[in-house]
Amino acid sequence: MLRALAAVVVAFAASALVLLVSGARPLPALAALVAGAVGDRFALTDTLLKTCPLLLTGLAVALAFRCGFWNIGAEGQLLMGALAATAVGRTTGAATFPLPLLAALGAATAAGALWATLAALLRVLRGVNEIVATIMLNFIAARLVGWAVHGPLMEAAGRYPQSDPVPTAALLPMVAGRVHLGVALAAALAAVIWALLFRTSVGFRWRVVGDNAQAARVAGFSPERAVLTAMLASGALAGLAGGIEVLGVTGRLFEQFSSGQGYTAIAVALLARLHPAGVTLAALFFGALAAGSGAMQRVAGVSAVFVAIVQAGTLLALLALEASRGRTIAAAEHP
Amino acid sequence: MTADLIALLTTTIALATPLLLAALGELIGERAGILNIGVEGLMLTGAFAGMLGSYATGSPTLGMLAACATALLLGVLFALWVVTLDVDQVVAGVAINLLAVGTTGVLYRAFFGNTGSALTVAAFAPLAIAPGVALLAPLRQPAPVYAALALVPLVWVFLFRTRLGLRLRAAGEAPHAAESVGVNVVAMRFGAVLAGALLAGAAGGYLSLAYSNTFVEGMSAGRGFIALAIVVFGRWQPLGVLAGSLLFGAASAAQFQLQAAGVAVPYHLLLMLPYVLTLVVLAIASRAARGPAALAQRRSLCATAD
Amino acid sequence: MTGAARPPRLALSGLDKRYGARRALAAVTLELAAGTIHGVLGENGAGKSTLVRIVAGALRPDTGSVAIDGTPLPLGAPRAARAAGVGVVFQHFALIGALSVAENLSLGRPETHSTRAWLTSPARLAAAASSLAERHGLAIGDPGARVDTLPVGTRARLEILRALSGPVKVLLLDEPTAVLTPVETAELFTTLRGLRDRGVLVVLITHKLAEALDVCDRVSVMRGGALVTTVATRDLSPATLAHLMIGDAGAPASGALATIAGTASAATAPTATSTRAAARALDAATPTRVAALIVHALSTPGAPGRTALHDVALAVEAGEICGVAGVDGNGQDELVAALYGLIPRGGVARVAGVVVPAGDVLAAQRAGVALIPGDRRREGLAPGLSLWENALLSRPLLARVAPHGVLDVGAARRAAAEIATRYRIVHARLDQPIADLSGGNQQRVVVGRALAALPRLLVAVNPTRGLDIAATAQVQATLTGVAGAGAAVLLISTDLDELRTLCARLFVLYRGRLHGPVAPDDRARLAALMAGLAA
Repeated sequence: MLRALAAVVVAFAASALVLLVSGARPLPALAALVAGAVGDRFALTDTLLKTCPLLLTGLAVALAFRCGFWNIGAEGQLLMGALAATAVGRTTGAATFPLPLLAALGAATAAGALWATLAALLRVLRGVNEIVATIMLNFIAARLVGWAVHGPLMEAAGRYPQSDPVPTAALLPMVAGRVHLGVALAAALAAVIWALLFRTSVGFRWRVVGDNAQAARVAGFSPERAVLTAMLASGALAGLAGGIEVLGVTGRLFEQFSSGQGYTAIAVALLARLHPAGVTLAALFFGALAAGSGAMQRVAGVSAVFVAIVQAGTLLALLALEASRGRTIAAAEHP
Repeated sequence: MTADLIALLTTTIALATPLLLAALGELIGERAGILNIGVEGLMLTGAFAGMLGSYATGSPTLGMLAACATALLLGVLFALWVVTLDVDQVVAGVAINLLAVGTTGVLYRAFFGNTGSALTVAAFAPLAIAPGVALLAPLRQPAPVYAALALVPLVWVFLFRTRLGLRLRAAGEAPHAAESVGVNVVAMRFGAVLAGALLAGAAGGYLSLAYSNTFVEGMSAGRGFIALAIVVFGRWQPLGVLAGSLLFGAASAAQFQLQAAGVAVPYHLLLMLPYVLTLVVLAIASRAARGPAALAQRRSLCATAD
Repeated sequence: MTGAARPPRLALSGLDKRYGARRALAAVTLELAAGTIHGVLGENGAGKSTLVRIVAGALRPDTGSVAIDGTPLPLGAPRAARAAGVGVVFQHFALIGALSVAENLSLGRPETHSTRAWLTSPARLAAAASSLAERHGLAIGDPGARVDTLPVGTRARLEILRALSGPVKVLLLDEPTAVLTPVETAELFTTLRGLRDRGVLVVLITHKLAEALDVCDRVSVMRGGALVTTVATRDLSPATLAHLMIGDAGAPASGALATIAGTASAATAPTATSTRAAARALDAATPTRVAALIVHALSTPGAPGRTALHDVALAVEAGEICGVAGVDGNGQDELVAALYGLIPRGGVARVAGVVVPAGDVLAAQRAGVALIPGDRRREGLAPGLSLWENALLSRPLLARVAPHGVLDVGAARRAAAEIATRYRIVHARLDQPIADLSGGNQQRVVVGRALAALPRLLVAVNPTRGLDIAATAQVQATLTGVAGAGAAVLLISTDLDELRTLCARLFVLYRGRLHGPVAPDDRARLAALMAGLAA
């Protein structure tokens, strides 16, 4: 926890440097960032809404990493979830609530799971490096979304590359103000994933496989099956994130649907040391950052991709802090 | 028909070059045991710095130098983390990519505004080889293309015909064993990362200064990741990497040709072609491929006692 | 020449090295003359390897100095050590498998004017390798061959050649015979004597008394990081040497002493014989003699890095400890993996009469097979997980504490605590990462876990490798106990003395074929089978 905080502080200091180079005045820009994240009710709502997909994709990444699978593909899985939710929500929207919503969420989950399983199958059956595979699948998913909103799902008016709104019967109900039910669902899922990882034999096998696949094999746990099931769950979470985003926030699909949440998820998961409780906190932090960066762009004219610098800085600082710790351990136990 | 083929070949070479440069750099790194998935970010940084250099000086050559130097700087950062601090290479690579996306995005918008106004800079011109002979059009490429091609045998000689190359490969196969016979593994890996960063920067510079004459946010468009795949496809051999780059260059070129020919396949689906091809090729090539034994392993965690 | 005034070839003075609270080396001072073979003996953890690493420059001592011919050596500098004439053959061969013989030899060669050429070529490297091999009279075969395709004996020669590629004044060998057959060991000793006669100081690190007495002129005994004594071998009997190594304090368990003494000679090791007799008596006492394991026509496919097994037939009775000897890499890993369902195989295996399907770990576990893997760090433990979680690292055990897939943490911890208590595992908390435990305690977890499954057949691979005396004795006693309780034990070990101590029948694996049975006392036949000289 202390290390995570230290990493964040270092990251902010370093990213202020980039602001300086870019000609912006760091302090007002950062002030706008903070105000946009936690300044008022509107800002806090924004933070919660941005946290939701990060929490789900963060859990997805943490789960996959725990099983030793470098899932860099939460981005693509999220996009496939959003695409499926839009398509199913649009087609079933005439039915009565909550059937269309459930169908759309189910489709999103299944699409994400399928997309992740593709990468898992490629590794298990063909030995394909999952890092490259999941990244390629991200690009393919982005192009599929582009094709869909220019083609079959394009709005009837045909003016912008976006879908028509999903009918109300498929939308997530609001809990308070703009905060939709998906936020609560995501929080509940964090607890579920914790229990899955630490209180079931499936989760136990995932963790053993991630820690030492050969020992897992000797113990009678098939690493291949573990990777497939873990990726099924991981992709489902990321797909759900995309579905919830469509059904709770945007109401429709459009090009550039994701602002890179699937990549931010990696920083979320690692900052949390792959623990679901930590993922919740880290997602809140990066959610606040995302909400604040929008405000910073409006007020101080600094591009919102600034967030990526903070994320990179956090990861690098975290790695450096862990390395200095790891080194002392290694030296102590090595005869 | 012939004209189409010539155009296809010309575009293939033009599109293969950045992949070749980046993949050769990645190859050197991986042979030393370093998996750098930050090559995408290094490329993007190179593209941005190259454009900036050419914009400031009006010289594409100076722009290219700026591209290489900036990527090298980022490479030093990466090497400090993965070699000196010996941290996880995948995570550090992800961080490098995020850093590149953020930094180029913020600086680009700060310097040139959000408008994306048609910013153009001085770029490399194609060499005037046998002008007038239509058949030789594919040879009329800008100078960096030839530099990239010349690197293929140079990298091979370096890796397989020099003592330094032998030491570098030893560091990638068995760092502890190499260390015990006096190979300076840290120096080998550090140097290999820097060489890789330099070449990735050149690949980026090629994108903004030779393949086009401008910079677009995210213009590396996954080429760095494709370069990773090409190294696997090329079985960690320079010639294999050349073949892989040409294959992917051809796939991308075919996509443009098909588009131009008005084939009834939606544009966005055509855009998928290189990525789908990467997966297919990897699915075929991965089983037989065997990379350096200590690839992506942290020195301190390598599976050797003592 | 005034020989008396000449400084010693190698002088160590006041070497001290600490790891945390543990003192790995305690004020070691030693002077060794050129033209001798000097043995350094000691149990695991006595500080031998630390000493080698310091002289080789791979490790910096906390205090003390090293001098060669009176010239102090810069410490912690491998290249300086090599330039000063120190050659080292490490315990785990430091060869690079993916590189060729010639490339490996070239890596070890110090930079000189003739080799500083920037460019090189396979032909040039091969020529250099061949001339080096010729100079020392060691056969290396094809210099272009990849090292990982070569037999272990050739690799050992390569390692020595590489150490000799510079102007060597001091040659250190750290347990060089661990992977050699008796014949290869004899060849190695001939080479070492030749080097001695040419004035090289050879320092042989070993824990095998017979070897030390055979080839060394003098030996130094280390215990707990300190130098106990240095004596000429002609004044020594194996029994004296064994006592020097173990020390008088804290009389070690008889099994372990038997192992050590057995190294010297079976005749001078009465304890070994009596233990074996006890084991046999146990066997005889077992009322029903059921074949717990029957293997027929077992074969596995060969692959790069894998030895193919051919037509292996084997029967192990309930209550028996059956041994499989052999030099590493002759199919031991494959035999274990095939029996345990880790790799595909042909042929039939029955455990307690039930046919065990091939390539199915779960089926093997259900049939009652448990495994103590040979490499616990690679195959037996999940280092990032806790002690109690590692105690569950077996499907049948996990199923017991996770009915319907939900983990009963309380039950799991109780089960782990029981193993910890029964096997006297020294630990702070059950939540402690397993990586924090000592090697001996980690092995106790692995052994306890295997036995918690109440196996009908226990397959144990080198179960005491790298353990200290107390842990070795405990593990060996446990194996005897399991067999006494009616299980069959298949003990696969490269340690002949351990096999002789524990087993009534021995088989030998050589290049994927199983030979035997052999009586444990028949040393000559064992040696011949291990070297492939008899059928």
